[in-house]
Amino acid sequence: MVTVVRVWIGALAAASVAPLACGNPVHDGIVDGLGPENPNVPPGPLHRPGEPCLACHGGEGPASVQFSVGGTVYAVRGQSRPAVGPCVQIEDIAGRYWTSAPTNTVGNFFVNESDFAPDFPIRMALVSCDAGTIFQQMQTLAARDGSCADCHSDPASPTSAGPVYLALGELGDGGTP
Amino acid sequence: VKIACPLALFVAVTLAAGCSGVQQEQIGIDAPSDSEQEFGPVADYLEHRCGSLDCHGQVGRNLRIWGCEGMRLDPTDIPSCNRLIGGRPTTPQEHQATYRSLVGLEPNVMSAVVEGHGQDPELLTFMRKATGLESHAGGQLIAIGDDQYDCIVSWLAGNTDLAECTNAISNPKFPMPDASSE
Repeated sequence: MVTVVRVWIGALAAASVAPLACGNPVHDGIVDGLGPENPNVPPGPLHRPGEPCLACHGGEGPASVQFSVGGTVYAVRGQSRPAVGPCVQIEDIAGRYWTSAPTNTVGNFFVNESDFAPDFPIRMALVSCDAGTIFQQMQTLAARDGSCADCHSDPASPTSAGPVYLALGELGDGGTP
Repeated sequence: VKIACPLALFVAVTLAAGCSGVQQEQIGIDAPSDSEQEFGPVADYLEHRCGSLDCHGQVGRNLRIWGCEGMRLDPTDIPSCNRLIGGRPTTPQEHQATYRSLVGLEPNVMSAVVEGHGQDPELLTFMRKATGLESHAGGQLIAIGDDQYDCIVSWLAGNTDLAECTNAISNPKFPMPDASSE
């Protein structure tokens, strides 16, 4: 009887601790796969351009600030120069619109989850920040992923639409809006 | 030892015979049409609704969907339907790849649904997920009886409803901007 009680106590203790001890190995692998920070760029709005923002800012950590949408915009297709200044307009399936702050000096933009948490799917466009001009309209919908770079990694390939750009370069440069 | 050796030999011979039998056996199932006329419109709808790169347009998914709005089959293609930026429309080969993925998910269940002329489409896991009857990371995408549902079920029943499939591609429907608020 004593043995049975001990086994039950042990099982209960293990069950209560296990959820705290176990992370998400898939998520951890994605974060680890991004590699270390650039030592010349401190974590902040200018870090890690071109990487999938929500890998760390998607709610599972390690970043404390949570985004709903985020990415990097380049000036010309096939070139690495960032697009500085345009805004990203997001429309969600509920008919709500949100216009991001202008892309910063490395082309990054992000939307804080606390400011706007869209209902997916969403469609997006690169616009002037008064929303008066549409520079590029995304051709397809984002069905559930707020990280642009998950589908727009460099280079374009059968499974990547290539980096997001403001202006079309020559054909063959790679990338789709 | 005298008993063990003949027994081992018997087992080995039996296993070898069993394996060769499996290798030579072909299993047939009833599957819905894979023709461009019947499945092409269904594939185009599935590509648009489910095949984006962040959903089933990924090689890591059980249900894989190919096409110009998502994952491409040809290694020289990019995810774009627009020739002006280097893309090209979905190919018949991509329709076939989508077909094989979809029909191969649960071949025995698919066979039963086709034998029943599409009467019980919810036997199929992908239909239960799409209709919200089973947990689906993408949520409920279609409602029983809507144009999307009818497009798929008509194909399962052996008579693809082209009009419903054409209407289905207009999903998801974003609300029209409210003119009075502008």
